[in-house]
Amino acid sequence: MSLFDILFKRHKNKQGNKKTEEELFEQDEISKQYFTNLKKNKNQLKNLFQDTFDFNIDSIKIADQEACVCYLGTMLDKDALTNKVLNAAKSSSKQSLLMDIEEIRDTYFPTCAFEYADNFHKVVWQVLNGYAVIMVDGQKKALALEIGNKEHRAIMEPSTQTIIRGPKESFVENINTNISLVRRRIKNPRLTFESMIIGRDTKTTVAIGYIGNIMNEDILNEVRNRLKKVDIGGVLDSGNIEEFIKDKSFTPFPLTFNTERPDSICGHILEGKAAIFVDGSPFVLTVPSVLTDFFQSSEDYYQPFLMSSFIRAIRYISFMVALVLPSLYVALSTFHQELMPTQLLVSIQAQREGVPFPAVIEIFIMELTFEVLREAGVRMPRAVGQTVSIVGALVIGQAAVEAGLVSNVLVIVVAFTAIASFVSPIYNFSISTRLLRFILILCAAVYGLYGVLLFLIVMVIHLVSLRSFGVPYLAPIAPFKLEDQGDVFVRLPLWTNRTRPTYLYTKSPIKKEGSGKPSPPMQKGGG
Amino acid sequence: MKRKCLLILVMVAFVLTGCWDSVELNDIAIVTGMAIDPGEDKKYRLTLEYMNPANFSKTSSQQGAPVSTMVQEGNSIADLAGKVNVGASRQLVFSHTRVLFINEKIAEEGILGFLDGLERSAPFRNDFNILITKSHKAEDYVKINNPLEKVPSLKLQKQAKSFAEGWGGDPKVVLSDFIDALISKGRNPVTNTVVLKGDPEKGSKQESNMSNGREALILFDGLAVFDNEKLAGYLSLDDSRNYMWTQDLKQTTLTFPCHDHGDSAKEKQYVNVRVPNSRTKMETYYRNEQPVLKVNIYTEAQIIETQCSDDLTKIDTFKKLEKNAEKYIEESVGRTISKTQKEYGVDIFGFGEALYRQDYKKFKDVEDDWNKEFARAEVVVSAKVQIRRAGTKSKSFLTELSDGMEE
Repeated sequence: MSLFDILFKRHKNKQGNKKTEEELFEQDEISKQYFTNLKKNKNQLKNLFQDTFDFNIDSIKIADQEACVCYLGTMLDKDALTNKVLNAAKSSSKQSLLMDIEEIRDTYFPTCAFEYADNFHKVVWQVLNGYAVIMVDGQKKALALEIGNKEHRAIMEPSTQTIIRGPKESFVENINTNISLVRRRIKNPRLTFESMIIGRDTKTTVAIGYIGNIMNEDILNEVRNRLKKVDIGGVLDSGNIEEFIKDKSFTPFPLTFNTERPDSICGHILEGKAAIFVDGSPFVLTVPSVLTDFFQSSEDYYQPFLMSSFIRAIRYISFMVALVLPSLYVALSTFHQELMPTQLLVSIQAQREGVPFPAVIEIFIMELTFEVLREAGVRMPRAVGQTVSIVGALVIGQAAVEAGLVSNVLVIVVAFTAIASFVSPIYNFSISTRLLRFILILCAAVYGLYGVLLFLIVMVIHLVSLRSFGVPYLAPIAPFKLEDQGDVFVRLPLWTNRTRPTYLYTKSPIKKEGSGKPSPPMQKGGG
Repeated sequence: MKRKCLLILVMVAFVLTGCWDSVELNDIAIVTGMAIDPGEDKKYRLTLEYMNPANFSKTSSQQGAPVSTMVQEGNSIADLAGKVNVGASRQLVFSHTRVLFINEKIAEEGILGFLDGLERSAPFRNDFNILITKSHKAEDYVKINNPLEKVPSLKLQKQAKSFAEGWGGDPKVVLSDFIDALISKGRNPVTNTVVLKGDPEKGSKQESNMSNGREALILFDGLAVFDNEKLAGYLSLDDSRNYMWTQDLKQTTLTFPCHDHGDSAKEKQYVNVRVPNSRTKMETYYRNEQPVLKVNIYTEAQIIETQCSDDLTKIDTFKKLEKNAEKYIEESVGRTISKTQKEYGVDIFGFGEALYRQDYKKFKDVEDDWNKEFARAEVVVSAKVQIRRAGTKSKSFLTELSDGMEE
């Protein structure tokens, strides 16, 4: 057993996690009893897995005792299994000592990862997990061995959150690989992963990762409680979990941060947040998360701070642009012509000559066309990707203008809005701007700038009311925390950043002592 | 249920009460200039100049004139502005009005009649230029084409801005300044005037843009001096720059003689300086019941051109030139002030306001007769000029030429 396994198990037991694999099977009406009689156990298993072609029960003889190996052939490496079990059977055939199951393991499988199953639920669980379970006649426990692994995707570069400078690894679907990616970066015995199983039908492993002496205990308990309360049939991605643990469902803003970047997760864990790993999903959640998290990329900390601060400003501006630019266009051109410079007004007016629609209809047509294009672009097969983008660009950019259906300046507005909405480092944050944009356009069409401002006020009120695991969503802007401002709108040099975010109320608020400002060595005697 | 009903009601109210003042860009025409003449039958004759957006389109062929005009007669400007669709197809938007041309005949009778309407109305910005037209009808001024600026009024506005920045010849009087001066007891309004040179009939044709020479051109022609709301008279273009010296003129170009000798203007040699920065302070006080108007001008300058052979590497030359410049400014500004005192007897400079700031009690005593006080006041102009630079050449070749001749 590796160090990782020890830590993993230890904490699992310590927390006394109630939802264990055994309990999960109770609702499936599977009996729990493990018999000492091998035949009965075999029959029980056969009844359970009866029609599955990949379920195997192979009878063998170990240490002169009747035994059998049961496993799902599709879940493990059959060659490795044959090697291990065959060797054991071979070498034990020479001896005729009677051994109990622990001795068998010690003698024949000393290097294998293993687990004992003393009830039938555990046996089923391990079989489903891709273990080979060895049941020996007359023994009270079965031995589950981890055999060489199932196929999974290799670690690759992130596909949705790319950066230029920084680690190029990304999470994969396997939860153990993902946890190891984090452990490799944080060598700290207090880094803890608690696992639990969620999903009535899928029984997916979910792990909470945090650093014990940093993370606030109350928030951590809240995370545990919410995860325990999740009652769902199947968990296929962390997105399923996200919807159950959100503080508020009816909001366009994401209340949990998600990323496929291990370095980004490590950063969050070090700040005092909890990461939620879901087996089968390369996207890991962190909670609690605040609005400003979605404007920060891990690359901000790898590039010079001046550049990062500038880029952050660009992100905040882009957010506003993506949100209000189309509605500003509608408001200014239909209500407040006096607010535009004369030359600009004439230029826009000249382009709108002959356009048959009112400005609001015009912009709705274009925005919807763009949303359709975007959706088609994401879903279409790679092979036809070119076609859609060419047709899209031609239809949107040129044909519509030349046909006189929309004006040139509107195409610029829509295009700029669209590009600005892609600037957020976290893709699902742009969803909020996409949805709110349409409401804003309506407000602008009905009331002009007054309507836009009215809606923005409502939006801010909504934002202020949001909480993520009890932490105000707008922290550290509202409530305003001066100590945290060095890493919000600008990123000050790392050596100035001495504290963890105060709004997380961590157990060790000070990251490091002293200023640590870099400077050349002092010359003695006045140089 | 109650909450849902309430929510629906609020949303319905929100939608139903909206849109009442929305207007599509296709349905408006932007007014850029207005001209007011005396009407033949009615009180006023209003000409509105509005842009034809199709002409400004980059994609479609640029057809039609850049502006159209619409002439009506009526007894009030507001009435005319409201009735304009008797002939125009689109709703007119007045928020981009840039220039208001007022026929001098109207100005002589007084312009209070429509200033209030312009200031009161929300669509009008109060930052448009007010210009008095000296020749022709004001109506003609909004029709004169120019190949550089398609819209006559925008051309005039830009012209005024450039003239103010380049030579300091535009007093930058917009509606709000005009009204401020009108209600102030220590100041009377002035505005710029324009004159039309050439044939307005030809100048209003698009073809005139095809020739290099201008068939008709609008020029600035000095200041119009108002006695309250009525036009009192004019000051020349030179006087209008002198007026600007008293009003914190920022930039100008100044030509003054470098020597005292030489009698007629032809014999004199001149030096030309550019003033990039200048400050003015006005003081008004009483000395033994005699009002004194004092103008302190502090100016920096750099030499642009010289016609005399003085050695510009010597500091004495600069000192001499500075002294000459000071003398020139003092004389010319003093001349303009006394001319105004004698000819019009109205304080267009704001000396009364200076007194108001410096000696409030005294001003309260004289405020009703301030123009009389102004007319009998003693004028003191003191200028301080500092010539900082002499361009890219220190010694003029003229100096070397004259050195050679002396040898």
